[in-house]
Amino acid sequence: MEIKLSNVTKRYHKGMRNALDIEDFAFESGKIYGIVGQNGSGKTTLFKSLTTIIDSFGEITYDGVNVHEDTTPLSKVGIVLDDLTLYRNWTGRQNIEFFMTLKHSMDISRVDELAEKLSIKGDLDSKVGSYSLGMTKKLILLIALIDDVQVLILDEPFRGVDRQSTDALTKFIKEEFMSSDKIVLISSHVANDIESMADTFVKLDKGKIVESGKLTLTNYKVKTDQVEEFKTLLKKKDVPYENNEQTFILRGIEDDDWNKLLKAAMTAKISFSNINKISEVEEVLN
Amino acid sequence: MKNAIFNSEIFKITHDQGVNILTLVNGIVNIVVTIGWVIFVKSGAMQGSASNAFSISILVLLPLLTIAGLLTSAVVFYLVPFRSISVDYGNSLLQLSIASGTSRTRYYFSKLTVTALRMMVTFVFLITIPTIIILASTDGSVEWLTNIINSLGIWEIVFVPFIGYLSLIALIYLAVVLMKGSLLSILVAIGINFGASLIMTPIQIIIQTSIYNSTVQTSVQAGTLLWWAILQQLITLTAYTVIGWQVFKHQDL
Repeated sequence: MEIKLSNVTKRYHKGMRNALDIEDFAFESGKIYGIVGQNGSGKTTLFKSLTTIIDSFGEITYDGVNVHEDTTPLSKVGIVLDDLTLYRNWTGRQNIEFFMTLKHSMDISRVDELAEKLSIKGDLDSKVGSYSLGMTKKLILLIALIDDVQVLILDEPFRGVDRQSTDALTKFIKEEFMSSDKIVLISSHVANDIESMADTFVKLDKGKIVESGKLTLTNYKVKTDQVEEFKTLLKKKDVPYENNEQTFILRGIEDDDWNKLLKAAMTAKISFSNINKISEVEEVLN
Repeated sequence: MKNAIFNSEIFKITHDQGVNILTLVNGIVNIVVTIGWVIFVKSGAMQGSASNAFSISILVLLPLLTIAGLLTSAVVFYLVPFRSISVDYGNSLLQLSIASGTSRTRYYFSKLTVTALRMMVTFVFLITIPTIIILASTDGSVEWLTNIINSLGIWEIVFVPFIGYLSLIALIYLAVVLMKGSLLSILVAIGINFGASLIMTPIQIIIQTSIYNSTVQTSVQAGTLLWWAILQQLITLTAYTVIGWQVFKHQDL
């Protein structure tokens, strides 16, 4: 599966700037994309355009099929939007049955399996109105995954969800989608959530894709009084760095190399007043 | 996919407890009102042969019950289509349906058809038992019914209200689409209806004036007016449906 966007634009009101303005970009299978950007950068507009929830201009193709002309490929898309709600007067199971009817799905064993993994099996017969936000999001995720989806879109899936549920959801999505030939797009305002799941990031700003690439997760920010000694050590170990007074930023270091560097610094009696692993997503966002 | 939309809509209808209870209440009120009128007619209250207490009590109760029946029927036939169409906007299921690959055109027309069918079934449900009660009270005689049909005509009784009601459902759908399911859709529907009558009424006056000023026979005049009424409903039905569909096709959900 490949999703291609060509000259995709969306403007909500005349006279305003484009909420989305993507000239050419492709989402490739086997990758988990973290979509980052400030509020209003176009993340939700991108997701809604990809699924035709909003009417955008340009060409959006799934394996060559333009979804503005033929929506069939969308049957392989699961989506969890931040503002989605379900029938509150129905039970979780009734909501699932409704979507199974809509999607022509028959595999009830898949529902049980997913509910078990998401730890909501025992709550499926309660009314959705009594669910916590975390449970509701789990149920929406379950509905999104009823079919064997090829593309999963998650817009702020963890907003308002407690840490325990976030961890459970993260674990579940990683198990289901990591190392698969599927595409996952996830946005979150919490950098750690993106980093713990995504292997590739796409940065949006004012509707445009301004940066994209792989997430390395191995950047460090250290502070030392022994600036010259540490510079010498870094040069000796051939580690690239950025330096500003007592602060050093080291990018793209493997864990082993980092441990060796720390050991060498101890031997050279260099001490650090501060060591921080930098969130690459936060870096990108800033 | 079309069947899937149909089936999912039927799933919704069967699980829509609030509306189903309201319809049931309306059905019971209609039955009570029908029985009340049958008793009233049979008791001779109109001729003054019934006892005073009975006549007074039935004369007070029956109009109240009739008004209640008419009001609940109005709620059922106006608000149920509104709720049925607007509910998906309210809880974002429309977004999920479209994001799952449901064609907007199929969705729109399926929803319109299912809503119309639902209301037809509701109408049959509401009218069946009262009709049986009336027929039983007249010992199966349908003379009164044939008299009404003969005096008004089958087209006026069945076809014009039927098309008119379909047109009303299409109008409600258009208003709901324009207002994205908001409660204000009801006012918008009333406004559009008023706007349409501003266009249609002058045309109707022109037609009436021209045919009554001519020397054609009364039956021909009545026929022309009937066809104008049907044409008028068909024009509004088509206009509301097409405009609603086009807006929905390009709407941000």
